[in-house]
Order: sequence, then structure tokens, then C-alpha cells
Amino acid sequence: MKKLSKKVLGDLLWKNPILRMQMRQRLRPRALIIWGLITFIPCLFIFLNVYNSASFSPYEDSGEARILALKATFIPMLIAQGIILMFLGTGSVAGGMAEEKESGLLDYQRLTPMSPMAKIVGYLLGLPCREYLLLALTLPFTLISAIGGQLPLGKVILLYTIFLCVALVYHLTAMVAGMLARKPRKASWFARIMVVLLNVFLPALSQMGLTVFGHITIMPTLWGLMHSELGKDIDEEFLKLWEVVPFFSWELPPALFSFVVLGFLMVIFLFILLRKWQQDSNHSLTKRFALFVFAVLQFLMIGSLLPHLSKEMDTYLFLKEMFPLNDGLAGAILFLHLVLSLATTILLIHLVTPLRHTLAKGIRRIRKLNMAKVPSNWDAAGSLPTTLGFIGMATVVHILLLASVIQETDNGIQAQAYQLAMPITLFAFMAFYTHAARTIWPTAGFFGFLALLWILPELTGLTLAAFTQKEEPLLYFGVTNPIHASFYTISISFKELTSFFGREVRTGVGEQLSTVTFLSLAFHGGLAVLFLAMATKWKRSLQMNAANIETRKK
Amino acid sequence: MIEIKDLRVDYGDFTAVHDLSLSIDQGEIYGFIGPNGAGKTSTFKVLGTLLEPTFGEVTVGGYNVAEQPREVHRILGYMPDFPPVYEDLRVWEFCDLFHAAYGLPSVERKGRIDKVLKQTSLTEKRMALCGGLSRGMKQRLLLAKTLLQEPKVLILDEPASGLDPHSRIELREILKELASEGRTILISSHILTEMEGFCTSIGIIEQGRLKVSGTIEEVIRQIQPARRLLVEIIAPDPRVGKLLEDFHGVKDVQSPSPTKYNFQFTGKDAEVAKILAHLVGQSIPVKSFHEDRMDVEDVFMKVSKGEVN
Repeated sequence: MKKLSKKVLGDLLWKNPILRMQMRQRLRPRALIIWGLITFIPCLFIFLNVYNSASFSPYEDSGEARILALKATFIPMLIAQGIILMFLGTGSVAGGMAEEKESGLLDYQRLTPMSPMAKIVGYLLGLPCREYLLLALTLPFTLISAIGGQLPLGKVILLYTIFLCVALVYHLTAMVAGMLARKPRKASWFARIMVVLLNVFLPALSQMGLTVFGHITIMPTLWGLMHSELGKDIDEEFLKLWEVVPFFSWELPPALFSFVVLGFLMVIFLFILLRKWQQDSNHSLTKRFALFVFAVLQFLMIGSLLPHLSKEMDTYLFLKEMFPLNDGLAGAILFLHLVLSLATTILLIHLVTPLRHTLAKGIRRIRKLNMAKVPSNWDAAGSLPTTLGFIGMATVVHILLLASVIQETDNGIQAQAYQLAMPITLFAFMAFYTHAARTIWPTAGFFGFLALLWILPELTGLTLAAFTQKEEPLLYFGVTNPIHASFYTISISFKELTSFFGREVRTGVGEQLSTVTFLSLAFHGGLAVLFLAMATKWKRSLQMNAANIETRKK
Repeated sequence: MIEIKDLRVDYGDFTAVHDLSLSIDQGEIYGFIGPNGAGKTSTFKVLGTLLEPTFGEVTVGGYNVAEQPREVHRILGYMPDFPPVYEDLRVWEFCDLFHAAYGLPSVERKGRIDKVLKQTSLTEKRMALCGGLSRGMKQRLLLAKTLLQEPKVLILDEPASGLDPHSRIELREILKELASEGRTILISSHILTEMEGFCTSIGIIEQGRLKVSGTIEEVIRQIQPARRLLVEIIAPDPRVGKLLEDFHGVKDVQSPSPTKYNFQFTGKDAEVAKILAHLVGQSIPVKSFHEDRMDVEDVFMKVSKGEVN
């Protein structure tokens, strides 16, 4: 057993030919010395500057001042290391992968009998090997800071373990981007921009109640573990967000939750990479795996959102500040769930729905094999059953959230059952026509259609509202926009939510809100029926065409 | 060694390969000939497991390319039609990478790398960076990399493009040697005269369809069922035309000049010899007697012009 694990590890790490090749390429002495100097000198500069600035302290005892000054250098060094590994490293991975794909070198690697996992690990650790070495160059500063600043080493090690896991997830994202992108530079910049966005946008979502998203960054562990040690003057309420993770009725340590979330992301990315290694034309996800991903995301979402509805749990939440009333908070949480479920559904439908030529290929193949229909596990199978699966799961979670709202609300909910069903019905409509549009159109057409449908009327409404100084145009044109429409359908049951939207609506809640809610459902429902009919007709004609090709051949 | 049955490859609405069926035995050097976009590279990519076909049964060395790709990788050496190399690696490092990637024994590493570098005349460039090599040298390096694993089946897509005449001759010799060791070689090239020199069989593919396939002799017979023989005599002799026409199997006797004759003949080699003996026996002063043989280029041109179904 020990021998076997040593062999497996050897194949993956020290004997891995791709890893060794990347190290040979990227760690040539001359370039390494230059990069080393470029890294070491600024780090030394930052370290000494921060140390000197912090040394001028009011404390009499110079020993204590030194300890505080060394503590102060910890975070600047961590930021520098983040830039090296997460920003530069991610760019190297995405650019390197895309370059190898474009040149055809990736095909050479595909043709070797190495295991796909060894190939992935080789690239994952090999492409950013220079950045890992540069990181190692900065570690002495961290060690001085941690030991001299009397920071608990256990916590520092745990923090750095999460730091490396986050970096690995970013690098895996970059590998996926590199394998999917057509141009190396595009892939590299896409991945770098993603890193910046992830670190800015996701913590914001975390404050909205979706704790899970914050854990794709190092923030929760950093603040949860280290704030008391670093002696930083930080808002107590803000710290509450990171100290423990409320998940269902549990309070989890942030590091553990980060491991779970990062592990889940790693599994998804590894799955995509394995599929792409097997065959470049494969869909990124199989339909079954897409359902699994959606299920886990729903589980993480409900686990993160439920505690905020509970009266027993004292959770910090930006939404709670905005909506001090139960009604508004419940509506906001349902709204958040609906919008994020829709975003996930669109992304997954985009990934698993076959394009026209894949469908045609599938039809030709089943005819050749004398099969009645395309098996559901083929990429060429339609994505309607998968879409139904997404709708089903989102409905279950929505009902569970609603049940919790009903249970936790003091006076119960005033809305009728049909009103409570409106948001998820709207979600189903949108999922249906998104699936149908994706079936008919390729990527550019699909996203172009969504942009036209969802953004253009919204912009028209905004323009008219600006000219007329009335909110009605925006209200009515907003019907086409999924965020607005979701907002209306939830607001009909949770009227306090409209306080977010402006005074006019709030005062005129009854009439206008009912109208726009009805219009939203009618508009998106109509689109769903229309597009499903179009997709069915389109598929039938495709089948006929494929059949004609076969007949002509015979 | 290579079996392709009903292979079809589609790119969107474009069908690159139409129901291609092909069988190549062990030790054969099979030349795959066709214009650009004929479907050669698509077929090679399917064989190399790089492309999933629309349908079709493809096996290499008995392994199904769709179901047993890793087994196929172990016995297959694939050289694409363009030479990408790791620019920042040295020549020996490039070979070392693939030596390890194919899981070859490390004790043999130095010997094998030296051998393939010598075979491809790259020994002197051993320490050079790949990025600094000329196109031809990169092509040779790719060949070295392909030979490293001593594959049972070699797929070479335009291996001679970018090579100088000397290297082409060397390549031909290497391929002949490999075939004599029992390796199967599938090769595509635009330099058709070279294919004739060492290919045991050829196939002509056009617009995704395999037009003709077989040994060069068989292919020529398919296209030109009757051979054309040329006779040149020293001085004009009015008997020659009649003598030829009287011979069984001779057709279409033409005389472009009083001393030159050409005619079609459907008989075998022994009967060809009898014609010559007959003419000489009749005291005809024969200066030359030979067959106007089609070469691969002629065959290809005839197929390209649509003269063959």
C-alpha cells in the first residue's frame, strides 16, 4: 500500500515529465535571478518600510513596539504573496495552457500514455512553478513577521494552507480558461480579471447572506483566524461575518468551510479538465454532473441563507441592515436565491446543451447504430430533462426557504398560495426559454438574444424615465428583465421588499405591482411557450435533414 | 494493424470524411494522397484519438481508438503536419520529456535519445534550444520524438515538408528501415514521386472519399487496365504495325513517327517479352522496347480530374 501510494505520488509529482519540463523551461538561472531580484527587492522595501513606520509607537517599551511593528508587516507580505501567486501565477497558467493548445503541443501530451490526472497535475504545478519559487523567496519575511510578532504558528500554517488551496482553485480556473479560450492573451487576462473580481465581488455577496461565496477567497480565514492576533481595529459587526460560518443550524469554523467550498470547486474544475483531456470537443460537463453541481450549489445556498431567517441565530448581514423588518428580509433572501439559481441555470444550460452540429452528429450516429433515440448521457442528447431537473431542485429549495419564512415570521405571511408560487413559476418560464434559445442558437446568438431581451428594454425604460422624470417606464420596461421580474413576483408576497425600489412604488404597491407582476409572468410565460414550440420544430427539421443526408447516401 | 470501417467525420455541416474503409497490414508503408482539405489530417486525427468521429469503427493494433485510447497511445507514434516544439527546452530535454511521458525505462534513456538524434542527424544540436532550430530541424526533432518510443504504428502527416533533399533521402531510408522491422507506417505527402519510392500501398482521397486504394501496381491497373508499350526501331519498317496488331491482346496501335510505335496491351509480363521476341525474330531492328508506366503523380492527376470513379 505504502509502495503503491509512493508510486502514485511519484508519477504525479517528482517523476511527472510535464512538471519537470515546465520547471526546466521556467526556472532557467538567468531569468530566475532577474525575477528573484524583481520580487525580493520590493518585498524587502515594503517590509522595512512598514516595520519602520510601525516602530514609531507611543509605547515606552521598545520590545513591545518591535513586536507590534513585526505584526504590522504580516498583511502587506501576504498581499505581496497574493499578487505573486494568485495574480501572476493565474496569468501564467491560463496563458501557458492556451499557448500550448494553440500551438498543438497539448495534442502531443494528449497522445502520451500518461494518466490524465498526471497531465493535469503537471500543468497545474508546473506552469506557475516560477511563482511558487518567488513565493518561497518572500516566506522568510513572513517567518520573521510571525515569529518576531509572536503570532501563533498553528494559525499561520492553517492560513497559508487555505491560501495555497485558494491559489490552486484560481489556477484550476485559469487552466479551464486556457483550455477553452482560443487566444493565449485573452485567456491570461480573463483569468487575471477573474481573480480581481472574485476578491471584490464575492465578499460582497457574502455580506448579502451567501457566506459560501466569500470562502472562495482567503478573507474569511484571514479575518476569522487572525484579526484578534493582529490587533487590527476592525468593525466588530464586520468581523462577525467571518468568525463563524452559520450553515443550517451549525456554526462552522471558517477554515473548515473554506476547505469544503474550495474542495467542491476543485472537483468541478478537475472534472471539466479530465473531460477536455479525453476529447477537446467534449462538453465541459456531462448532464448528470451538471445536475450534481446544481444540487450542491442549492445545498450550499440554502445552508447559507436559512440561518439568516432564524430568530435564534445572531448573524451579521448587510441585508438585515437594509431590511430591518422580517417581511423585507425574507423577500430579499428569496430574491437572492432566485436570481442566483437563474444565473447558475443559464450557465449550466449553456454548458450542457448540444449545438446544432453536435445534435446532427448524434442523430447520424444513432441511425448508423440502429438506435431509437440519442442516449441521455451523450453530449448530443437534448438538455430539456436536465432543465427540468434544475427547475425541480430550485423549486424544492424555494419551498424550503418559504417554509422557514412562514415558520419564523411572527404574524405569518399575508400572501395567497398562488402568489407565493409566482416567483418559482417565473423561474421555470425563464429556464424553459433559455434552454430552447440555447438549443436553437449557437453561443453568440444565444447571449446576443439574452442581452437584447434583458438589457435593451431596461435601457429604454431607464432613458424614458430620465426624460419623463417618472418611474413608470422603467417599471413596465423592466418586465422583460429577469431581475426586475423576479423582484416583482416576490414583492407581491413580501411588500416590504419594495422599500428597496423607491417611494412611488411603495405607496402605489397595490395596483402597479399587481400589473407588472402579471405582465412579467405573461411575458416570460409567452416566451417559454413560443421558444419551446420553436425548438421542437427546429429539432424536427434537423432530424429530417439528417435523415435526408442518410437517404441520399444510400 | 490499422482497420478503418465506415468512418465519417463531420465539422458542423461540412463532412470531412465520408464512409472511409481501409485496412493496412503490419509492415506496410501506406501513402495517403490527396489535395489540401481532402480529409487526410482528419483521418489521421481519428487514428491518433485526437478527434471523435461521427461514426465508424477504427482500430489500431487491435485496440479500438474510442474505447482504448491509452493502449493506442502506447503503440502509436503521431507526427503532425506542423512542427510545434517547446521553444525554451533544449533538444535533448525535449526528447527526455517524451521519453519519460511514454514511460520508457530510465536506464535506456541516454542510449535511446542518442540513437534517435543520430538517426535524425541532430546529434550536434543536442544542447541547442528548440526555439532556435530551423523549420526543417524542428521537423526532424519531431521525427526523433516520434521514433523515441519505437512505436508499432507510425502516422506521419507531411513529414517531408520543410526538409532539404538530403534530409528527405534520410527520412526515406529511416522509414524503410522501420518498415523492415515490422512497423506499420501511414504517411501523407504532397511530394508524390517520393511516395512511389518507398510506399508499399497507396490510397487516394478526395473530398473525403477514398477513390482508390491498394498496392501501387493494383492502383495503376485500376486506373489503366491496359498497359501502354513503346517500341522504337532504327529504320522505318512497314511490317511493324501489322505484326503488332496481329498479336493477341494488342489494341490501339499508333505511330507518331515512322520509327516509333505505341500500343495498348492487356497481357502479362511474360507475354510482353513474347512480343519483343516476335519482333526481333522477324528481323525488326528494335532500338528500344519499354512500358510507358504511370507513376503515382499520373495516377493522382487522373483521379483529381475525375477520370476515376
